[in-house]
Amino acid sequence: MMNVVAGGALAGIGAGVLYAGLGRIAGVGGILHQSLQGDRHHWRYAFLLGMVVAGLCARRGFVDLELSSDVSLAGVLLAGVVAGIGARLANGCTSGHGVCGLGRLSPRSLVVLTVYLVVGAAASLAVRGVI
Amino acid sequence: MQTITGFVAGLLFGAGLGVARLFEPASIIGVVNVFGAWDPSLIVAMAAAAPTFGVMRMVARRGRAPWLDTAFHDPTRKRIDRRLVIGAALFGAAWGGAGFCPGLALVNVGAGGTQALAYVASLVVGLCIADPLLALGAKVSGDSARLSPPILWRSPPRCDS
Repeated sequence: MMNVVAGGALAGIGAGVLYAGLGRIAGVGGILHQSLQGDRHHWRYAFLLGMVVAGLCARRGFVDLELSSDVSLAGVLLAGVVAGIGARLANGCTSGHGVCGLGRLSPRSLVVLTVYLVVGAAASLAVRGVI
Repeated sequence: MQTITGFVAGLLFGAGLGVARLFEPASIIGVVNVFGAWDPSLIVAMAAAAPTFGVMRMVARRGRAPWLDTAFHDPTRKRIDRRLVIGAALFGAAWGGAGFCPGLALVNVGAGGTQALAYVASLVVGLCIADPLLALGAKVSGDSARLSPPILWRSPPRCDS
């Protein structure tokens, strides 16, 4: 678990750097959305690229990675569209609400995270049952 | 400098997910598997990440502005409304059902994940159709004022705002 705590803190530092440096919230969904609007502020593209590069490095750290879900491709595609719509409606996703919103003690984010867990648990139950 | 800061921030955030091994769908599926072999890693990580960010934000706000910009850009919405809950429910269903979320997916793509790539592609679609769908829905139901504040029909605020 120690690596989980350390990793979490590191992610928090990353979000903190974005805030201290640019005053921006590290919400991946929001950053991705704004990038798609044809943003002239390159920091967004750079942030997204940074995350992908981190993934490139992360691959080296583990031997038994399971990068895929147990869901079909159709399910993943559906999930993406639904998640995109949901993220726009809720003005955020797991990083925005779970790290930054929680860190700001935002009541909205607390509600969102609770809903994620409850609905997420139900959805997982429906998709794959108890594992 | 802004661009470099953005890159470093993304790299650090992604590295955090990497170190915590939270870029596999199993981490999301594990945290919602409350009736089975529950894996609370994602929650533990958030419990570490959120206060870390919170402290850094508090310190940053001692200044009048961030290092490289003229103002802080905190979210402004405060209301817990239907739109928020419905959005969270939709996202949560996709999250728990498929085991992906935007941040995880990006790191996963970097690690070579093809499903994650498909997710990101459809995520892009979802992000782009959401606002037009909302606008259409409001027009059809004639209910625009109640669904959400009007500002959301306009294009997103320009970054220099």
